[in-house]
Order: sequence, then C-alpha cells, then structure tokens
Amino acid sequence: MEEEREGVAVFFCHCDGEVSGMVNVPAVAKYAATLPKVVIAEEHEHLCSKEGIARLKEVLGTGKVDRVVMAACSPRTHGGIFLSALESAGINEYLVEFANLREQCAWVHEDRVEATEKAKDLVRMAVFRVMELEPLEKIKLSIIPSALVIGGGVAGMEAALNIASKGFKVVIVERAEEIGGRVRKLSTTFPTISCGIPCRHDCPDCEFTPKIEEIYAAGNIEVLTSAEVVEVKGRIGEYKVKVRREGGDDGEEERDLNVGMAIIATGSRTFDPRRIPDYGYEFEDVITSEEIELMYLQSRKGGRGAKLLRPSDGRVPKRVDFIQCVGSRGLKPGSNPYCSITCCLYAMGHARAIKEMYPDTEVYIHYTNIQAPYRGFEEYYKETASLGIKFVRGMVEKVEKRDGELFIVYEDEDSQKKEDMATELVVLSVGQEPSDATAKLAEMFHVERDIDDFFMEVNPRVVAEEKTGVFIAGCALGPRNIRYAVADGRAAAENAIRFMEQGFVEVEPVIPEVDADKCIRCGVCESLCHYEGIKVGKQEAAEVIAALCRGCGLCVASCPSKALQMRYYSDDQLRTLFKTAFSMPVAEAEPERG
Amino acid sequence: MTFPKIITFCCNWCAYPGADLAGISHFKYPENARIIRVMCSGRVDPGLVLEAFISGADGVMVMGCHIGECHYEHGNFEAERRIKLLQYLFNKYGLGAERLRIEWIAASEGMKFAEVTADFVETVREIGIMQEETTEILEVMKDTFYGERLRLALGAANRALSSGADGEKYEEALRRIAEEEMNKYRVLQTLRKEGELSARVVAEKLGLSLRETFNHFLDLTREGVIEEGEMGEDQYIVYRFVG
Repeated sequence: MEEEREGVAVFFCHCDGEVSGMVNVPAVAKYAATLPKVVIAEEHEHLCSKEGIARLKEVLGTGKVDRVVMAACSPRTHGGIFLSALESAGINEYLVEFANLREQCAWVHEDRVEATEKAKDLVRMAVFRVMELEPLEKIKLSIIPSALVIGGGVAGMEAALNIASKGFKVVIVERAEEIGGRVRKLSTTFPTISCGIPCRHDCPDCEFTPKIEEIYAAGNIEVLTSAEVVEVKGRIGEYKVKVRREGGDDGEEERDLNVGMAIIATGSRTFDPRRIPDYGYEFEDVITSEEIELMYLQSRKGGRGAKLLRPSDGRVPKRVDFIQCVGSRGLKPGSNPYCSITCCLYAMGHARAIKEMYPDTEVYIHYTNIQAPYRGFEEYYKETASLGIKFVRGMVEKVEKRDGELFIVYEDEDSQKKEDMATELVVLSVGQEPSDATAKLAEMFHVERDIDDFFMEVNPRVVAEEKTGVFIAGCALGPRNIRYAVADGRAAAENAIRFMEQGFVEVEPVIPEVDADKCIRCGVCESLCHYEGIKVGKQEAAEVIAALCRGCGLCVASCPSKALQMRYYSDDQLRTLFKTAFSMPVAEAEPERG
Repeated sequence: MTFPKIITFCCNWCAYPGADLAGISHFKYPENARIIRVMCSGRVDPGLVLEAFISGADGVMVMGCHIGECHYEHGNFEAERRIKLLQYLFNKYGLGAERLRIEWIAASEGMKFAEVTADFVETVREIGIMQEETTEILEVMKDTFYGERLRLALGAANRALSSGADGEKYEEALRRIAEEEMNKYRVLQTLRKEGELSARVVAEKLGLSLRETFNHFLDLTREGVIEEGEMGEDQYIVYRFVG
C-alpha cells in the first residue's frame, strides 16, 4: 500500500485573508501544480479549522501522495496540529515540509506582486525539499518510575507531594539543614496573612502551602537535607545522580540515585544590598526585609505578639522608612533589570504590622511604582494607605549617618521636593536573583538559562521537544509569590507524572548517521558534543547515542571527513533549498508533470 | 529577477522564531531573503554557505541565538568561528566580506530581525551582484572548507581553546591553514582545467613559489587526485588531474 503512494500534496491556507490579503494564493497554487511530483495543490480558507483539518484528511484519504507541503502559517504556530492530522491520514511526519507564507511572507511585505513571487519561491523550495526527505520513526526510551526533586521549598515540596500521591518514589535533595525554603523564614505572608509554612493557624482556607509534616509522613518520599547534587549522567527516563551529603561517619557521604525524572525547584537568592552602597546597609539600623521577618519570628517565639526594636539600642523606632525595589527594576547601578514581584506586598505587610504594634510610629514606604496585580492585592494596598502609612513616590538618593543619626535623602515626586529627613530605622525591600546553584545545575542537566540567568521558562503554548525530562518550578524560573511557586510545583509534577505513568518517551529521530568507512576516528564530534551524544572508539567508528543526542547537527557540520550526515537536515536536503530559492534548479529546469 | 539574492540560515530556537515575531508584529522588510531553517547555527557547514554562493546567492547570513543563549550551549561559537574565517578569505580574494554576516537574533527580537535583514539587503545591493567569474575561486574555497585539513583544525578549535590555547594565535593558524589549502586547491583546479602541467608552469600561473607548488603536488598525489606524468620539455615532470 505504501508503495502506491508517491507524490506531493501542497495545501494552501488563505488564513481568512491574512495570507491571501497580500499573496495571490490561487496564482501560487496554480504554480505549485506545475512543479515536479506535485499531484495535489489544494486551497482552503482556514486549514487549521475543524473543516480545514477534515478536508486535509479527506484529500489525503485518496492515498495518492506520500509527502505533504503545508503552505500556511509558521510551523511554530499550527505545525503540531497539522502534523497530527497528517499522521492520522497516514503521512509520516518527517515527509512534511512547511512553506511559511504568513509570518515570513504575507505579514512582512507590502507589494502584492513581489510577495506573490516570493511565495512561489517558498513553495518551490518546500516541494523540492520534501522530495529529498526520508521517512523516520520516533525513538522509544524507557522511563524509571521515580523522580528527583532538587530544592525543598514550597515549589519542590508541592511537586514531591503530588508525585508521591500517584505512587511514585520521590527523593528530595535540599541544600539547607531543613526543608521549607525561604517561606520557612517568613513570619506571615500577604495579603492573606498567616499562611506561611511555620504558621500554626491551620486556617481551613489555606490549602496552597504544602506542609513539612506531610512530606515526612509520606511513605514514598525520601528527604536528603544538607545535600547537593554533584554529578548527573544519563538521559530522560534514566538519570544517574550523585548526591553529596554532610553527615555520616567521616563527615560526608555520597549517594547514587537512579531516577527517571527531575524537578529543579532551587528557588532564588535574596539580593545583597551591599552591592548598592547608596542604601547604607553598613549601618546597624538599616536592615533588610528578611531581617525584619526574622525579628518578628524570634520575638513571637517567646510569647504572644511580635516586637520590633531598633538593633542599635533596642528602642521602639519613632520613624521607619521602607525602601522599595532594592536590587530590582534597574533603579540603581548594580540592580537587576526585572521586578521581584513580592516586595510591594510584603513591605505593606511589614508596615501594617509596625503600625498595629506601635500606632505612634511614623511609617513611610518609598516607591516608584506599586505592583499589586492580583485580586485582593490592590484592595490591600488601598487599605494600607488608609491606615496612615505614607506612600512616597520617588527615588531614594541615599541613606547616611550624620553625627550618629540616620538620615534618608529622597525625592517626593508628588510635592516635587527633595527631602532630607532624620529616621530611626530603614528597611530595604530586597529583591530576588538566580540562586547560586542555577548555573551548575543548568550545566549538569543541560537545561537552558534565560537572559537574567534564571532557568528558561518554556512557553506552554509552544510544542517543545522533550529531551530532558527535567522540569523547573518556582523562583528558579524567576521571582514568584508563594501561590504561583506552588502552582509551578504542581505543574512540574504533572509533567513528570505523565511520563512516568506512560513508562516511555518518544524522542526525535533527527540525529546524525555515521558512514563508518569514512570515519577517521579523529574524535572531533565527541569533543564538540556537550551531551555525550556521540562516541568514538580507538578502533570503532563514531557511534551516535540516540537517547543523548539533541540533534543540533554541530558534529555533522564539523566532521573533518564528512562521515556524518544529519537526518532531516542532511547536506542534500539543505542544498536543495538554496538551489531552488530563486529559480528552478539548473538540472531540472524542465518540470516533468506528475 | 530578485536582486540581491539572500540566503538566511536561521536556527530553530532563536532566529527563526525571531523572524516569525517580525511577521506577527508586521515589521516590514525587503522580500529578498529566503530563510533556511536548521536546528542550530552550528549546523551550518561553511561548505554549504559557499555552495549557496555558487548557486547564485549574492549574500548569505547566518542567524543564531545570542552568545551564551545557544539552545545547544555553544553551537553559535562554532558558527561564528567559521563565518569569521570565511569573511577573512572573502576579503582576501576580493569577494567582499560584507556579503557574509553572522547575527544573533533572540526569539523576542522581531524588530532586530527585520532591521538586520533590511540592512543586509541594502549592503549587498551596494556591493552588487556576485559575478559569474567568482565561481572559480568559490569552488576552490568550497574544496578548502570540505577538505579534511582545515576541517580538522576548525573542529579541534574548541578542544584546544578550552584547554588553554591562545585564541588569537589559533585564529591566525586557522587563517594560515586556510590560505595554504586555498593554494593547494587552486593548483588542483588549474590541473583539472588545463590537463597536464608541470610545477613550474603552475607556480608561474598562480604566482606561487616553486617550493610551495611542489608541496601541493605531493599532497595532491598522496590524496590520489592527481598523478605523476612524463618529463616535460622544460625538464619538469608534468602532473595530471585524475579526480
């Protein structure tokens, strides 16, 4: 049956005028029909619609073709939808090529005639390339049904609990002596008040903070504290992870773990305000928001109610100034460019706590923009302002000490005045930045980092290749509040569970092939591959390790003896594109009809 | 007829989505460029770049992720090394280094994609069409970049540099090897075109020293692409192309 199919079908999408508004699609379709091997050139108003997909399958159901060109939008947009439709119509997904007529033609040009001519070129390139392609099958890999969670903060704990609840074994590796992460250091959280992990209120509506007791109570979660991942080998579904742990007989012990999936929830690091000398962190009565939390926590331990006293003399401060965006939003040299998200709300929470304890203390919050987007946050902000806490919009120039007294110099944009006021306590609302472990873990697991050095967030709309089995959750992806860190943990767990329940993963067969006769055993390929995806022996020719190869093709383009060829992106398959980019290929100037 | 003809190799992770974003944002740019998608800019074999020129391109651009953001960690470094070397040779042989460009386009840089493309089209338009006569030297360059010696040197660069080799000196060595190989393949091309010639005649034709020409004759004989013939009138042995 497969042998009977031979030829190319080209499907054109008008995209409701988005393509056909700039490209004369009927003319291009007519042209496509004259190209060699093209037996079907079909237009549709909206190919990704239900009707479009049905038509696609109907046309292909006649069984005349084995190859398809989708002349439509970018393969990054609806490529996945089209491929699964084509596959169900019996077309191997590696015998499909896209001509990007929307994003890379209709939407970027202004001359209808020129855009139409370019569209013809793009379709010709795709038709000639699709004829060069070879059918491929996905590579199936087994998955060990256990997961590693790195980082025992709220995100990691939530992930671990979710995975464990499905019956899979989980190992949590936590660098600190106890799990709980940064949230453990918080006295209260805002605007919900009192739903941090150390909270003993047990409010019935507080359901999104996983509890440490539950982790230890679960039979299939193992917790390794004071522990770090030091080595990672293997591939999705089968990782060998070496963990080094303080403790044991000689002060240190090593554990080898075999896991199928990994979740990285290593959180973020708190910005060190010493990096911006303007804020005067060297002075005793200039503290960070983390330190104020610690003061609340410690004073609460003794009995009821928190206390806040000046570090220098143990007195109740008469005036407190909060400085926002310390290390965030690029406000001062040395800060990170992004917003740290949580600082506005926690500063308001701290300010309110002070006002409640000491109504006579004057409380100022210096800000440039208040970021209070979620439901309940704006209300909290307004309520805070109504409690007599003064919000001052403008930059803080500096905090300094004169004659033993603390002064804060700042702008007030509303009154257009520069102020220079004595104060008794300054609290720096410090932001977040990537944790120390990020770079090393990214390298060990071969996951990407973004421009700010956090782990790269994968757009859930983009169909991503899954070659790592490593999922990131919480502040390791960038600043987050507790609720969203927990939600991330859950989402990461869902991903890991999906693979473990399936028991296998199918990875792309787009990997190099080796011509053993040509291979000179020079080892260039092996030395260039970061993934250990190709090995060369002293005697043996290069061998591609399908489970580890990511399919980038670097080795192929570097092979001294041209012994490697890339599947789906072979030299010939790429050559045909530039040979047909502006005209018919020289040798085939006379198109032979279907 | 499109002029100038531009081939743009885009990596799948940054540059191609960047090009898509230009479309989504409706940023306009000239229609001269044809995009070829590869998984990584590191997949772009310098030989293929040269073949694109031989096939009629007036300019070739390679676009990848920003340095440090390569989806495959360091493919773009290799791409850059190759393009820089190509640019050097384009300059040396009067082909115009500006016909070749390497650019880093993040997935979020639709505007940059459009601007860079427009600028490149303009630049190549000013240099003019890639003349038919350049094919000969491009073919020699292609042989050079498909040749084992230069590829070994290029391929070993990463290993050498990460174990402490001097980057600038290594690049200098690459340029020197490339130039020697260019001469070797020019010798080969001359024999291929003109049949039997002695080293003296070839050296004169190409402006090479007799010594260097002899060395190339030896190398090419060892590679089996030329063979020794009879003693010529000038008392020099002639060699011929055997393919």
